[in-house]
Amino acid sequence: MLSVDGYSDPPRISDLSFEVNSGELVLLLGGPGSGKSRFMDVLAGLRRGCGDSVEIGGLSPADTAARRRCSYVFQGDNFDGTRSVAKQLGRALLAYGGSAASVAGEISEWALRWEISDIERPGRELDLASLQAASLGLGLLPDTDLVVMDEPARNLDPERTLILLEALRDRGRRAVLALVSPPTPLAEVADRIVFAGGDGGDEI
Amino acid sequence: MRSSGRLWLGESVDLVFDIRRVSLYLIVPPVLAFIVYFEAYLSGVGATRIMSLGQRVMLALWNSTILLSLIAGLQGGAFFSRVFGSAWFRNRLALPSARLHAFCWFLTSYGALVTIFYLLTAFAILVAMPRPSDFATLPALVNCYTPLLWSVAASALFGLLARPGAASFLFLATVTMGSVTGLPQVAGKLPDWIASVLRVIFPRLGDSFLGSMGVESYGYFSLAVPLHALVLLLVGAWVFLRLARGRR
Repeated sequence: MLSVDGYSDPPRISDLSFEVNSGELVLLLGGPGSGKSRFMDVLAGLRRGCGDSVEIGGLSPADTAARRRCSYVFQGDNFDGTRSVAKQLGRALLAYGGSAASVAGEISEWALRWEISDIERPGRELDLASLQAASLGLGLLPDTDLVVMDEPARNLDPERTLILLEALRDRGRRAVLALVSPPTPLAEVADRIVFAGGDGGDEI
Repeated sequence: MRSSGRLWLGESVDLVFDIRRVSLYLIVPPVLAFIVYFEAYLSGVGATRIMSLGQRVMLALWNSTILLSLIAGLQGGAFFSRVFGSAWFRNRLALPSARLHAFCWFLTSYGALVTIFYLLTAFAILVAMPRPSDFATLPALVNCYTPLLWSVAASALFGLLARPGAASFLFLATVTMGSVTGLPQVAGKLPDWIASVLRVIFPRLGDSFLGSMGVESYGYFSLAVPLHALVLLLVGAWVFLRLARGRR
């Protein structure tokens, strides 16, 4: 589903290669400043990688067709802080092809499950844990083949971290790539761990 | 409309038609009324040349255009710079929608806001001021509308290229140059080649104004400003796509 072949971002990452196949949960592990967020931008087609080394379903991440198959959760700034989070989340789901009627129901269910009582309010009025929980909806609610998340457990309280682990266990045929700093609670549900700083992308 | 296109329509309408942004345009009617009455007073006491009824209506329309253009451009430069430069907007470009839609819808929504206020103002002028029976209303409205389109296109481009304050300043500088380089009093003092270059770089707002007032009759000038706007629009779209693709 996702293929990374010799991605480099000197001096942080050199010659990173790995694949994420359907149904797999792969963690890309790296400390702060290891180039994970820059790599996230490359995966989202917002930054050019060296030598077109990243492909999603055989397509460049900048291709709209590739982005239709992939959903993203960035480390921060997933929503405009001045407007309703629910409204922005709803628009994103509509962009993935959801219907207006089903989207409203999905967001209500999501808010209930993740205990986001103020999801209708502007992003800046939500606490960090609720905002992160709402951001995870951008990645996990759309019906995509691949989910890419940058520090998904960041800012989550223990209860919501458990909900995230449960959601990742129930991923079905979806491929998931999570970019995380150690130590991470996601390690217990991961199929593979790739080290961002390692030469050539060491795996365990 | 495809759902991916609706994403940016909704986002742009939300932000452009924000009450804080719209409220700034409410200063146009009182300021315009003051200018029109002040010009009538100056003309009445002989301080300015006597104008025909048609010229007075045309001048009022131009005054509304200048006011709206300045607000649209100064506010627009800062607005586009803030939106296009924000992290949430950049992250939203990862959603499955053609990225050019983001640029086009923000421009369209901003243009719609300015157009609504222009039409309201122009309607008020045409209702309130007497005009001769042979006054060509539609050409006058179109001619005065084109600088507004230019302002929206220019502010979007400057918003992409500079920070909020600098984008507004760039707009103001370009408008000033475009207004003065078209005037014969200025152009006559410059070497021909410099005047020619300046006329290509800056919009011929001064020429367009004089042409429509019947001071100079250059019919094609009404096309020069929208063509300039179109070029800025295309350059803006190209810059937007380049920036959306990011650096290495």
